[in-house]
Amino acid sequence: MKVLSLAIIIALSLFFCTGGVQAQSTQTKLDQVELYKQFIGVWKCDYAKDTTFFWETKSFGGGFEVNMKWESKGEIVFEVKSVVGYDKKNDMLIEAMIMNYSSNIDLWSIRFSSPNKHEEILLKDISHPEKASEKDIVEFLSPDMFIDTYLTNNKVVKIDTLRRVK
Amino acid sequence: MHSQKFIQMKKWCLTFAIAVFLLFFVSGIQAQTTQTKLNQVELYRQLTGTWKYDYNTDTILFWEIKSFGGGFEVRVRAELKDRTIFYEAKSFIGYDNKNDRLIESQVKSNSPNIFLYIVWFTSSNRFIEILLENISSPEKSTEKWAFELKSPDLIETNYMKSDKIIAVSIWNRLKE
Repeated sequence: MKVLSLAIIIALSLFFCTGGVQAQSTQTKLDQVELYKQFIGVWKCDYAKDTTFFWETKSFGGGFEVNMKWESKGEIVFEVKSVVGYDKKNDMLIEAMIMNYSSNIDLWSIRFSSPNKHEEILLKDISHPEKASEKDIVEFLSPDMFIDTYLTNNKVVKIDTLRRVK
Repeated sequence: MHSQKFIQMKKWCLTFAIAVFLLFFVSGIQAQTTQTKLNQVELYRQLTGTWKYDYNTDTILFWEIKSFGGGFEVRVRAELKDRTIFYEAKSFIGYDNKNDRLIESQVKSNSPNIFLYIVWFTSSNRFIEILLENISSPEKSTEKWAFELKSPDLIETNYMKSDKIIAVSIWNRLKE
């Protein structure tokens, strides 16, 4: 009887322990596409004196198209356009970006580490994210506000606070 | 004395001739290298505009290419006869400095995924497109698109799987 009770206790604790581990794995698997939907809309921030930064995200199919503009005195100074979509193989998003001042294309990887925070690094740095030359850390403080921290060589270069316009 | 001078002069002439020969030889190689290096961005610029392909009696495909900065903004749409759009794809194309090729990144109306391709001109009017994941061994790429600009207003596309042509499409430029 004693042996049986002990066996039941062990079995039950193993069952709960395994369940706990499974629940944890499910919890850490974030739906990257769903989380990116938080960006849909138009966002604005005072980027520098006389310069306003606009960030517009629209749905396109299951992915996204993004348009960023830096305006000064009613004129567009810089403009960046991108598409964002899911990379199944690596369970992350990829952003492909072209700029009005260059012929190059930049590929970035985006991964949410929590429902309101993601990191963006160049795709070429994906195997060593800790050594990424450039990094953007984006954190939603509310559905209408997020903070974008830009780092180069792990040093903070600029912090922008973007607020929802639409 | 004279013969010594003559020998010396002969030596100089020979050295000079070799130097001139080497100079022409090296410039020849340089010219050849310059010739084979195609300007991928400039060549892609030939495609800017709107192209149309009659896929079948009910479906028309439109391929619209616009310049943006030094890159390109592309939209493909499939329309029925009544102009209903049932498929759309949006992509951006830009230069990949490291590989001297173009990269096309595409999102589609029927998928959350991103599709990445590399594009490169092999001559002034022919270019190839394969999936970016096959960049290290393009010859092993299972899917391939071979494009040929037959004229400034006509493009022929061959879609290939394992080097066999699966479909041919003819795109005509629409007048702006």
